[in-house]
Amino acid sequence: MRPCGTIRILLAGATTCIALVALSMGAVELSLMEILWGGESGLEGVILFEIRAPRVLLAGFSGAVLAVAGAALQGLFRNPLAEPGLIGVSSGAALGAISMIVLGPSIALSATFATYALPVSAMIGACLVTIFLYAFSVRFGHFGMVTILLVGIAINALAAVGIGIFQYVSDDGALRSLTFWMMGSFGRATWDTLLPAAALMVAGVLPIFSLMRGLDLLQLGEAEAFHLGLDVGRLKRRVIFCSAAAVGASVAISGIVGFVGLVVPHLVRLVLGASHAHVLPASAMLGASLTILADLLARTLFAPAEIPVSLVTSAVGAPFFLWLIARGRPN
Amino acid sequence: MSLSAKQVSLDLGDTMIVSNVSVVVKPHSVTAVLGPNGAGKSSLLRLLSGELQPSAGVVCIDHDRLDALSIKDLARRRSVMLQSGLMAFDFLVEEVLEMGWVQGGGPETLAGPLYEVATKCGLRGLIGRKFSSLSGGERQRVHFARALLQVWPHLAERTQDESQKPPSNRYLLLDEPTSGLDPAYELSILRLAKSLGDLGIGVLMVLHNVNLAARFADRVLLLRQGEALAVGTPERVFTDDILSRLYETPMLVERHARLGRLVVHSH
Repeated sequence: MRPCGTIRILLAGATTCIALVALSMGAVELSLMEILWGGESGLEGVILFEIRAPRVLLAGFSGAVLAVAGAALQGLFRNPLAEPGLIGVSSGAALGAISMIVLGPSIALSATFATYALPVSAMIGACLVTIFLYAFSVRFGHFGMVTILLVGIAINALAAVGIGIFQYVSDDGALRSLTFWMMGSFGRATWDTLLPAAALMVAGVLPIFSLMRGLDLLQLGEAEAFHLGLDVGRLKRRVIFCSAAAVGASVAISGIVGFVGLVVPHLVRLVLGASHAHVLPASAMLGASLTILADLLARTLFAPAEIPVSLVTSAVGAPFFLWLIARGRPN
Repeated sequence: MSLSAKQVSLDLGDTMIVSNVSVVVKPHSVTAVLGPNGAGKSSLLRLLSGELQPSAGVVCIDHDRLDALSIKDLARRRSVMLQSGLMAFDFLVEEVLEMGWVQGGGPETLAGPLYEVATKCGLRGLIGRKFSSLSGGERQRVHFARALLQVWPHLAERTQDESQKPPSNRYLLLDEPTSGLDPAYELSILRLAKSLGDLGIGVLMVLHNVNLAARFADRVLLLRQGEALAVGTPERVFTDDILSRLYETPMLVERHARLGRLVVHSH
């Protein structure tokens, strides 16, 4: 047996601590105690409640969502390298979002609809890529480690072509936000942008938690899972749709944050084993805390300047990825 | 009461993989399917399991057509052991076994059967190990135990009186359960399969070893090029002539005086 309960409590505690530290640290140091109990509602209160809280929440939600979606996709493809960024799901979402930024004004949407148009088009982009990947893997046999990465390279390259075209036709303002999508940042978080995105992320990720046994069974093979009473087709459709929706919503508001979906589930599996009933909840918590930490570094390392958060996650994630490959059988 | 295929055919494009084959798997009995490579043995097993739909004919489990049952219902009435490969992630043996539990209920209901099955299959010492750290033979036994747990009778079912028993029987389909195993493992798996008859489980297994089929099967089905060459008890079906035609190579069957059973040689 594995010490699952203890680890969950530790993780929940760590996530809370990191979130509190992230709330108080930054370009302006805040004392949470003074603001909350001292009744101070001046500039510091505004910074805490209007700027920092939504940002920390967004980082937490995005990190949790990316980690859970990564774990679910890895289960679906039976491949520990299936990370939303590496296999092109995030690029698909970014392409969807960018096409809405550039083309959106010319379609003239109503204001309420426009708030959702961006995440929805990102979700559609993510969904299309995931469906394509799955169809490709069914058509050409089960994906090996290398194949899935090669296909990911191809999809990322194709998405880059699309993004390049949009860059070419877009004006200066749009160009700035295009760059932002590719680098990832939680700096756009306000309550107005956070709430719809968070709602969509939660709506996408929650159903995945009901698929834990199915994902376990799938590891035996598709035929075996069917024999054990699993409707394999339905499970696949759900995992694809839910993880693409969650990743799409995350990318729509914070851009591409790389490697969270790869590193987090892997660390969790090292400690808790492969059962999805352990992997998914722990990935959500570890993903949230590591991403909040990465965002904290991104905005404090060179304060008051900010670096894109994906630089931080990739600086950690890319060497980790190399280490996985060097281990041969990444498990 | 049986798992039965009536005149089933499987037609993939222009080739007949299985053509017009009938087979009946009765509870309390072991049926073996034999034949040369590519004779359609595994395809027949996949038709019986509901994984493939026959292009003609019908498969029934206790009078219910397979295609009328939900995937979940089917899983409670039959289990299947295929020749499985490695798993991409590191599960514990215990977790792999748990995957075979389809009867519902909490961990309390699972604990008893899991323990019994693990004991029966000699896996008690391996339960806490990582699946990937096992030898090929041990992995095979774990998969066998998982399939067995899936059709393992509820404790409640066994204590209830006959009139209250659930109506359905259970069936276990094994596709070359002993491939790649040494003779001792091979025997232990087949002895186990044979002993399941006492629990009312009907067993069908695809085998390559004619001698083991003669020893452990109540009935055998010989498949050649997708067609049934012969069906019946080993005593009746295993003759020089039939087996030679089956494998298209001269075969010799004799009764071994000391063992008291049929022994088959190729020559």
